[in-house]
Amino acid sequence: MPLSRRRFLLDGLTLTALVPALSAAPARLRRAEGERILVVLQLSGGNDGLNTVVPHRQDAYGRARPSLALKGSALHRLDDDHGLHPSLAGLGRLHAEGRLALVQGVGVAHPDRSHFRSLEIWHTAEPERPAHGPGWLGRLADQLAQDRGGSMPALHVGGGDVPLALMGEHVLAPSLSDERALALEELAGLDGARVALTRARPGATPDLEFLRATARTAYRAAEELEAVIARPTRAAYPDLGLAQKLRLVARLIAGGFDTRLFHLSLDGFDTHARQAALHTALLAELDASLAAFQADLEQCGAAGRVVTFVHSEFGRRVEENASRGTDHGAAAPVFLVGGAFARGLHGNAPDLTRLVDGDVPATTDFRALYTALERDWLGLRPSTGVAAFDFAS
Amino acid sequence: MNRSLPLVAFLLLPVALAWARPDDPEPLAPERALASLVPARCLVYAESTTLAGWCEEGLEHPLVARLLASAPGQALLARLPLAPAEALAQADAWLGAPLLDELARVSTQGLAFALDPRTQESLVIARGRSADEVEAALEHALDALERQFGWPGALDRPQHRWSGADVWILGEGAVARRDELLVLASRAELARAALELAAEAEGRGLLAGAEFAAAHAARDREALVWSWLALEELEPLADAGFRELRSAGRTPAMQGVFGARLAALAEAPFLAASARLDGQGLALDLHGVGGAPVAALTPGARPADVPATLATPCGAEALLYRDYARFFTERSALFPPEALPAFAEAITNGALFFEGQDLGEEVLPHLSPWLRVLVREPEFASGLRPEIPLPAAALVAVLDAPEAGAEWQAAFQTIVSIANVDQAQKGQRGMRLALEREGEVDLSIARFSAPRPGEGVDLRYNLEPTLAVAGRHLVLASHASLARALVRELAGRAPDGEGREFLRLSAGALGSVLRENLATLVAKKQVEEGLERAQAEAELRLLLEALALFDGLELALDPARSALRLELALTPEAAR
Amino acid sequence: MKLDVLRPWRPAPGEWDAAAAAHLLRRAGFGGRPSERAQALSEGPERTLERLLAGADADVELLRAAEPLLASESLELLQAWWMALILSGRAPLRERMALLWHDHFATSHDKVGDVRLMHAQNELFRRDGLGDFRVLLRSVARDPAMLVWLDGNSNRKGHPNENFAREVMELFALGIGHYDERDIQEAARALTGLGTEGRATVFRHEQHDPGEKLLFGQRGAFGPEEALELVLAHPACPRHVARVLLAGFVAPEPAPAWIEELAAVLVTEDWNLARTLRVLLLSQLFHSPAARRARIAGPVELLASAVLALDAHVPPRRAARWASAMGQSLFRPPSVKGWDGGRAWIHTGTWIVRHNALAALAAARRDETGPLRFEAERAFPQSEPAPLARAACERLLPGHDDAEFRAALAAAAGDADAPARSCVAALLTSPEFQLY
Repeated sequence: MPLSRRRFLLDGLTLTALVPALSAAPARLRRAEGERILVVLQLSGGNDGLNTVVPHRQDAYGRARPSLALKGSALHRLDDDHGLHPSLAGLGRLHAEGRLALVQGVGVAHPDRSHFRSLEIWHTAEPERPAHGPGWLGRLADQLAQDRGGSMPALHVGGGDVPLALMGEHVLAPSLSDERALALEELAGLDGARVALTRARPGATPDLEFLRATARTAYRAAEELEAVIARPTRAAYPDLGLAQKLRLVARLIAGGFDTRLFHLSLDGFDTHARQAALHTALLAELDASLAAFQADLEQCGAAGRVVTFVHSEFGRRVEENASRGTDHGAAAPVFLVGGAFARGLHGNAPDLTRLVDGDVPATTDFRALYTALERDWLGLRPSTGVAAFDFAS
Repeated sequence: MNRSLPLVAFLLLPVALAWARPDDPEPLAPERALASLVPARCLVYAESTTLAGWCEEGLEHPLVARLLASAPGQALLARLPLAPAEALAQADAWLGAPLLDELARVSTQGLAFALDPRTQESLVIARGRSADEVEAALEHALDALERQFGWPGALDRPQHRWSGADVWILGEGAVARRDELLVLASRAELARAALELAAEAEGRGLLAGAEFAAAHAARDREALVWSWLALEELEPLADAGFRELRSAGRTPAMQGVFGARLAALAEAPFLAASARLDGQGLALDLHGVGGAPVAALTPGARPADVPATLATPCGAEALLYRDYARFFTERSALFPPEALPAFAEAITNGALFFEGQDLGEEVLPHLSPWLRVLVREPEFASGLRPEIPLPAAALVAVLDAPEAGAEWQAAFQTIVSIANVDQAQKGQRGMRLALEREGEVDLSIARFSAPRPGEGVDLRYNLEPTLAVAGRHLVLASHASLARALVRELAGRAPDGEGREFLRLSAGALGSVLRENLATLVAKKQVEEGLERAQAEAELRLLLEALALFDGLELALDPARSALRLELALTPEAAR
Repeated sequence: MKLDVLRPWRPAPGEWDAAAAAHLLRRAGFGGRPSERAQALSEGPERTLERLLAGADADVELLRAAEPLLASESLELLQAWWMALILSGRAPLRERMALLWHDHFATSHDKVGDVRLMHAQNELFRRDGLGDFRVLLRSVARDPAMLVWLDGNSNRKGHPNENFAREVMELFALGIGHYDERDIQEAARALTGLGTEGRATVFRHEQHDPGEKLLFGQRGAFGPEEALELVLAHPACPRHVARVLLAGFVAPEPAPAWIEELAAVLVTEDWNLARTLRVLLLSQLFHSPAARRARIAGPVELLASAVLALDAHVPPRRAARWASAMGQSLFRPPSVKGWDGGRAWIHTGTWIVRHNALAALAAARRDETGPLRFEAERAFPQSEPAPLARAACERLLPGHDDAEFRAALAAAAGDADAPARSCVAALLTSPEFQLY
């Protein structure tokens, strides 16, 4: 166990005690000023990167996608050769303002076309063997809990099970399906009792002190969340599922919660047939939600401290299939929204004349981006030994 | 002159007396409706003209006696602290007169209840046989109250006289009597308003509303209760769930599942409901007044074929009009913008199954909007009878041409294959696809591989999805045996020309499903609720006994208006 | 054999008190109802333990209730079933052992995917959990659920899958450090061919590697049975089992000296778990003050002990859901290591769930699963706050004498409409109650 311990032998009994600095320090609930936040947004199903960041000038694009190809004039310009899908107006604006970074050709060396396996790889940052380790965000959360004694370093926003990415060895991130998730069941007299009963007192065994400290943190978290929810939001969010989740994240950030890692997902990107309408609708939801989120963060002055990392488990094949959709592919672009960390177009643009197995090959290992975010943005120990992606080049 | 003064005075006396009591109104006209005495602010109204008959018979009423004698009735009685007969006897003793008789007397010509939810004030109006009877009954009641609260003589005299009625104030409320009319209200002002309306010969009360008047005129006079709810005005006062229900009328989900007419019922401004209870059972009529269903989706909006009527009885059967093709082709006109992305997703998935065709434009229009849904017991192959056997369900639709069936067969097979890939990725078994014949008809059947002997037949073996096209009838069933039976019944049959939406449930079929699975349901209760086996079984047997009282339930939708008729029929044994 | 910490506890007059009896019933079961505690108090530790070991009147009807439900393929029903058995309080030691072995031989329905197999494994733990450990290990090694879980079918001649061999050595029988990678490979070879067909265990000769293996220094053409015997014969095995028992019944980090002693007892008692437990549960070590309330309660034991102590009735389905929300989803341990337990149970999210579940219990708040019965006024008829707090402490935390604690409980009761419920809620949600 990486948590440091001192073992005491007392009358033949072994007690373990956490290092006093950890057990005695009041568990922090509020984030220190300037601490950086990472929001990971997963597009589940395999987003069609080629129709998201479109290399419209390549002839092969139009040839491979007779019905799905997007016209250059409809796109939001990124550079001479690339444009964003028509639905991504908000992201286009953010790019023009220098608050968006895109990295093209991100993926794994040996693509696996299974949703489950690919997600597992992205969640654990272990492409090689069957994964049974903790998730990459979980490892970061473990570090945050150990080094800073934070209460809820990581949070999953959404329904369903906590994703593998957030499962740490010691920390298990809670899931907030909505604002009521940490609501406390109340009875008369209970609120006074819990203050009295969770007070730190001398003479307690280490376990009891640990329980009291956790209880205090938990109750404060519930109260803080209650207060955060009660505050009115400034920015207007559209009535879309993703937007509402991001709104909750924004409130937590604005409210000074100590959570530094958030994970959300938007489902539905597995567009095997008749992709056009559905992809348009999904990207529109993504765009509107992210734009509102960014605007909200700007308004409360937190935009400089938050990076939103948008990725999918794989891209899709270059050629469209017979059902006017696309099948599972390999590499895809990722977005980093926020601007404080990186901006502009990075990575190797897909060359549609040099495909591997009909797919855009991965020229950037996704773990390089993880390292960059972990080490350079968050200031934590990276999960893997892969060198950090260099945004300066 | 002096001698004629007393004569003049005597002649002028009636005039003087009439002058002295100018507010003594005319007696209530015999045909005057009780609803016209109710102030328009009451959004909830209920009346009964037949209640008196029930009261007169009391516990001897044949239906009441029969229900009380039945097993569930007995079980219910066992739980009550007091037997009904004893309770009645006690009430009679309290009143000093037979309670039910008195109730009958005061409500011979009708009993009405009204509620103003905004102020939470309620009103009861009763009209008896004669002024004397009502007066006597009221006296008994007031005397009983005096005895109860220890106010001897306090209520002998009325405190007020409003609009010709004697009024007693009881706390905040009031009880008043004028001739054979009795008015009780939880707030005195409400009683006064009712009495004023009664005094006005032209008083309209609730009948001032055109919709109310029309519905009231059209009501079933033999009903036990006729009621009226001003739903639109009630909305701001109700809880979020109710408001959500009312606003959901135009969503694809509401229209798709419940159909245009029922959805219209949910969002109608007013609801008129009447209940008739007799030896045959209970009949409930719900009529949405003032609303209109979505025209494009209403039965008959376009001429269409109806799946042929089936002779074999079913555990449940429904005929539904659901124009899903129009859902897609006219979606921007019919549904709010938030609903549209879901259609995009459906089209995408549909394209996957139907070889790239647009679900809304190219696939669904070949299907008639009339759908027949039925539930029957399947026949399981030997060794494949699930330990928890469930009934099978089927959908019968009509295609415009038999050739269109081929693409549905293909789509079915694609769906099964895709589902198998999905299952395989999760490490679970998929289903095998088989093509079999029933007469001239091909059936596509998806089956799980048989379990090994002795391994137990799990719940999943209830599922054997099957698609068949018999002539122009498209049959999709959850079990192959049901599909075969339907194919045989539909052989050579042409679709019907006309249809009317209905739903029929057989209580006997439901009972037999429960009986088949009694051991499982008992175990489920033990395990989920923590009951002892004996208690769990007793509760389930009680449910079976209650079901045995009924023949079935039928819901019918009036083709002309947003009206739903719900009939719960008692079994012939129970109805004797 | 000379016993040191495991020598029998001879309580002085008054030492076998409510706290001591509660401690025994809690660790050897789930705490028991007030009537059972009173009986234990009057009968003394030996008699009480005999009663627990005899394990009579397990609820046969409830055990059988699982049969018709297996066809439903519903894990939730199976979870509710086991919870119902635990909450019935009828065979506490048997269920405690089943839970212990379920954690030790951790197998998850998430991968096994078959409710019948999970049920069969559970019955195995119930049947063999208190018998000879060697028989238990051999049965578990042949259990179909376990074989699916640890990829028995993928372990074939020429393509050995080491998963099963590794976990048998590392987690089930020996512990890290008592074997090397070669041993695992050779054991994997010996286990080839052992797999499942449908729901039955089969041994496929054509997939078995018949060659000679070198395992723990012994050579031979070992098959699965021989490999297991070699594992069981390893000196680290009894110590590993002793550690599991000590961690489960005494305290989370047992001292090496205790492990040695209990391992010796296990061997002396011919690997019989019941007799070994008898020594342990009547020992000085077990009854020492340092062993009392030395563990952080896991979700299932927390809920069961609260429900039983209060003589309450909770729909088992609801209790199973509560336990899952607290991190202990029955039949779904997070990995083959089982549940970490201890402090791993406790963090912000799970604290809120514990608080909410226990407060709902005290308030008898019902939900869609059915009524929750807890007659607070009958259990605690005291009307004044101070005696109420004292009575609640005696019932739920016997032996816990803390004036400040009681004062806080009394304050909770003071202003409330339902003082008994508020007092009990405050106690159940307190940090002290989480110690087991």
